[in-house]
Amino acid sequence: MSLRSEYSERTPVLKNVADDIENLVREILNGVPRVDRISSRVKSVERFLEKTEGKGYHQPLQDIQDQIGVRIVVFYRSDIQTVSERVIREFREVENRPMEQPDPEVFSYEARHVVCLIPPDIHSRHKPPIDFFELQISTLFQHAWAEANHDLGYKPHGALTYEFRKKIAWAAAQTWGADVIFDELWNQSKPQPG
Amino acid sequence: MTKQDNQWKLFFGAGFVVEPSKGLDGGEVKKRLQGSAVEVDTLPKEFFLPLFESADELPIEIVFVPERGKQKNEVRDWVRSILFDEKPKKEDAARKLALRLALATDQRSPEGLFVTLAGRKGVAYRIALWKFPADQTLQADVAKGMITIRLIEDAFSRESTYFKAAMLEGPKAETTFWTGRIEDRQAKHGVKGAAEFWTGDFLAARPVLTDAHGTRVVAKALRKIIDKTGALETREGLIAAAQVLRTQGGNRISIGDVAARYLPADERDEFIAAAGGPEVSDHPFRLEPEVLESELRLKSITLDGKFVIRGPLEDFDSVVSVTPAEEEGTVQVSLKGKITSESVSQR
Repeated sequence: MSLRSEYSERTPVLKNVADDIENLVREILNGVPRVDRISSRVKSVERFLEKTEGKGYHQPLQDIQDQIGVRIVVFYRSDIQTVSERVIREFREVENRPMEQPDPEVFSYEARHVVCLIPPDIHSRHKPPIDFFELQISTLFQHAWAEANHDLGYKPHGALTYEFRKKIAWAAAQTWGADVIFDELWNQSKPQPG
Repeated sequence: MTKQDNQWKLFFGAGFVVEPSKGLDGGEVKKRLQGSAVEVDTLPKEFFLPLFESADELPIEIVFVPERGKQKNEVRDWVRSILFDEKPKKEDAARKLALRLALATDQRSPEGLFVTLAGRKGVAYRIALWKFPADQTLQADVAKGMITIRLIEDAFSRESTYFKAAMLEGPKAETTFWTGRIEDRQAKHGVKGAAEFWTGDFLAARPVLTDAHGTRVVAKALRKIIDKTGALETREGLIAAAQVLRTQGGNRISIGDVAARYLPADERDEFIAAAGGPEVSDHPFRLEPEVLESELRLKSITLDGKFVIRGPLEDFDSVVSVTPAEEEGTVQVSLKGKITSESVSQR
């Protein structure tokens, strides 16, 4: 059986798991302020196959851990930590790290990615062939940049011109700046304890 | 699938005599640690193979704890080394596991024989770890650094007498072997009481169910069967159970425990099914009062310590009204609705 058909075959059950996890995340974050949206997706067959190409996955059906992704979009950078702490109380994570550029002069995709175990009750209900899903927590600006970048720029690097890539990076830098400013403004304006 | 693919084939074994060494100098303990890899053909297979084959039935599922947010865990690395590396590295990893166990074990636990076995069936790899009581069923002899493990001929029982066990299984892939199953037969409270040192200190793992999620699952399953049941008496029993659970915050429990201890017998299976089924019923967690309160959504009023009015939070205030009564410090409570049943308890 080809990788395409093997992955296609599992997508309906992944969808059911993704729906259950999304509903659970909604319950967990019910009442938490400044959560803009919560959504989930199953990685499309095409994106799954793209990801397997050239990245050295020997067992992509096992090793690609974002086959199910749940995205939480919050207003400000400080909210990422609050939301992250709240959801981590509910799930067992095997990875929890900010996705950010190590080089301070490079601007690109940023978000917090948490790889979590599918909760045992949901796993037992649907019996998916995977153990993990990925939580992606980002600000509104990070989310907006990621969506546009995905639409415009998610192609092999060789296919994009220097200028095109420079503009994408410039937009990421603007996004970063806007997030920093809004977070500062929020922290100045929020009611102080006492 | 060939016949061979249907059977576990053991390919590595090791045994170490583990003394309780918590708090002692790691270097000294390492020097004293006795044991080695063993040829699997020399092991008493009639004893070990059934244990190995049934290791997937261990009751508690665990997941390794990541180190500094990365997908890295030292014990998992050793497990994978035993499964996938060359023989010298396998033995080294088994020795590191044994040392870690010794250093995690305090004087309350007796000396034991730590056995590691690894096997393969088709594309599945499995590793099992056990701590056996010393010199009861198995005899371990160490000579010139090499261990020999044999069954004691006149052992009272050749049944599996291990103290603790762990099992991990999966295909050979980068992301497998994060989860496994364990049992602690020395635990005071059955499956729920798996010693912290076996799960946390030794395996660097924790149960797969978080306290918050375990509590949420219990509360939602309880609400589901409360809402579903038509029989008032059953409903009352379930609501009473929910009330009792609210007083159990912080206690270590499992879904199976909740069913057995607090629910009417007729409702237990349905409750366990609503909570995810028998596969998850033994997973331990601590009840979190906050989650329980928000999920159970029950409200009650007790008057004079003997009259109880109880109902779902969302309907409570529209059905029950409480107003001050003439006598100071008292209230008048009225309810609006249809009487759906009425009973007088028999003497």
